[in-house]
Amino acid sequence: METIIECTDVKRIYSSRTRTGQKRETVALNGLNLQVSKGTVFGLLGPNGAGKTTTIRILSTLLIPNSGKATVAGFDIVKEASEVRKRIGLILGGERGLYGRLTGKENLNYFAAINHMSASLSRRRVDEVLKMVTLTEAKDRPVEQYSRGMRQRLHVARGLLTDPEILFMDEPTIGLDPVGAQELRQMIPPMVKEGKTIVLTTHYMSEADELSDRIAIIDRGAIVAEGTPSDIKRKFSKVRIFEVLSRQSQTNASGELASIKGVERVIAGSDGALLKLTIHVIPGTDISEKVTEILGRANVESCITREPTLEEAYLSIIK
Amino acid sequence: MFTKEASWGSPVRNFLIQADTTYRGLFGWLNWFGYISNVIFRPVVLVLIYSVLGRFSGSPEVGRTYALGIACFTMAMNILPGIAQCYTYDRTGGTLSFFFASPANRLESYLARAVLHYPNGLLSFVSTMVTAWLVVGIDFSSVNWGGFILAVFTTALSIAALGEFLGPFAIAFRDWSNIQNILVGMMLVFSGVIIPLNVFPVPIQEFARLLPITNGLVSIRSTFVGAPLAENSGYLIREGLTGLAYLALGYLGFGLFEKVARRNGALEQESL
Repeated sequence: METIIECTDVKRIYSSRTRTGQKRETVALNGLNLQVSKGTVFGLLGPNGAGKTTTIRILSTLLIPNSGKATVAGFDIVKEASEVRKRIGLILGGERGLYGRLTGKENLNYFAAINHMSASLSRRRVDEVLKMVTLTEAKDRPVEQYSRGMRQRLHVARGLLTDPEILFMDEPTIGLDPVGAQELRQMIPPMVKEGKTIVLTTHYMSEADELSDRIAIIDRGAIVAEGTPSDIKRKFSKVRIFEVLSRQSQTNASGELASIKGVERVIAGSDGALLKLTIHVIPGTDISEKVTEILGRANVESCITREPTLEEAYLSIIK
Repeated sequence: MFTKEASWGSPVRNFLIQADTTYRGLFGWLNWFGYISNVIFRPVVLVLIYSVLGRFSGSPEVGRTYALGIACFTMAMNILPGIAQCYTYDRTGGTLSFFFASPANRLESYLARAVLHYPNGLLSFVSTMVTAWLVVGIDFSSVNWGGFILAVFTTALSIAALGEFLGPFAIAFRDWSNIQNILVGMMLVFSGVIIPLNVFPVPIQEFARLLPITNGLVSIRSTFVGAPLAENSGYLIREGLTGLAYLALGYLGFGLFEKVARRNGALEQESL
């Protein structure tokens, strides 16, 4: 598959000064390497401050790396920034980035103008994207009167306005209600089918799992795991999951289970009247006997071993 | 992605949309209270104070000199912060990031940010002069209208050009508007608005001649009392050239500060 985005040993350091004038440096990216294939969704996951947004900002030409090289659609993001900009769309999460006193339609008209769109194309596309994000009825209202979800949908509309080849989505569903988030997620597969490439950052693991062809987990400015969602769960996950349903709840059961050798984490929940224990164990560890012993054979309704979900795998990788 | 042929829009239309958007979307005084108090009421108060002060000096000439100087200064008071807001609010509102991530024509956008602030400056000049006429009785009987209007328009252009020069600093420096306010204040002192230029040491006089208003005001004052434009045309040409220089330097600054912001992450820090 053709590589459309490539980062090689990209480093980005933010410098600032304290009130006493001392220089303070924050390493946002520490030798980032990644490749994104054309026509795929690439999910970028990581904790806050890991470097996801910095990566998106570098790839969208808003930031220059301190060292390393990055290309988008074959163009260098520093030397050929203007070529990159013609091919990308950018959706940043949050409430900033729109002209609050202008209407949704006026906002889009402006972004169409700075993208050199002709009057007829602008009119057609503005109507299309407003319809896509179900803002047609609200198009003539000032954006400052929009709800957070509506603003986020307008961000999405702006990102799609130029029908870009590559779309960077930084937490696009933040602030959307479940229906709105699902509607946005449903827009992604058809775009990929058309050949678009999407780089998506999100904190919602199910969203990344559902949409991404490949996922990279970034931590402290470097990629610590990369592969398909299944790869992340199978190869990179540092845990396997034991799921136990028990009839009787023992107050100290979780503590006792956590002390078993090979157990990383015990999460207690309920499933109706039953106690549900999700036990993260180091792969290759069999704790079923000890679990039965602690909870009592008669109490154990079921005990199954399963692959971790993406969230469980993620939590095991990012400690 | 659209083909270039299908998407390429008219530069004039795109320019006008940008002028309209940056004005209505970013001009902080664009509400009834803000507009009337800043663009009309403040200049009127200022001209009243200084013109009355001039009148007490016993010479109608001083009152006229002050009125014309303050009328020019009120143009700066409106045009400079107005243009600056186009940059500071674009940055703090997060919209500047989307502009920089776009293939927008930078020159088009740079010029568009000043267009609608220019008439605001002229409006404050007119309201100031009308006030001076009504309240202080400034005499308009001998004005060389053609020369006077040309001098005022050129001076306003030069002020707008300074605004375009100063505005882009806000891209890289978060607290730039505070510094700019000091610069606007300096214009009151050094550009001959109230204090005659010749009372300053020569180096300061030379510095003052690099500011908008300083040269144009000489033409405005002379044409107001009926002198032909040619009499002080050198000053007017210098005013126009000063404006052109600021405009060119400002455009270089716009490009430079975009690079600086991309390099030091200034826009990123704003969003933290």
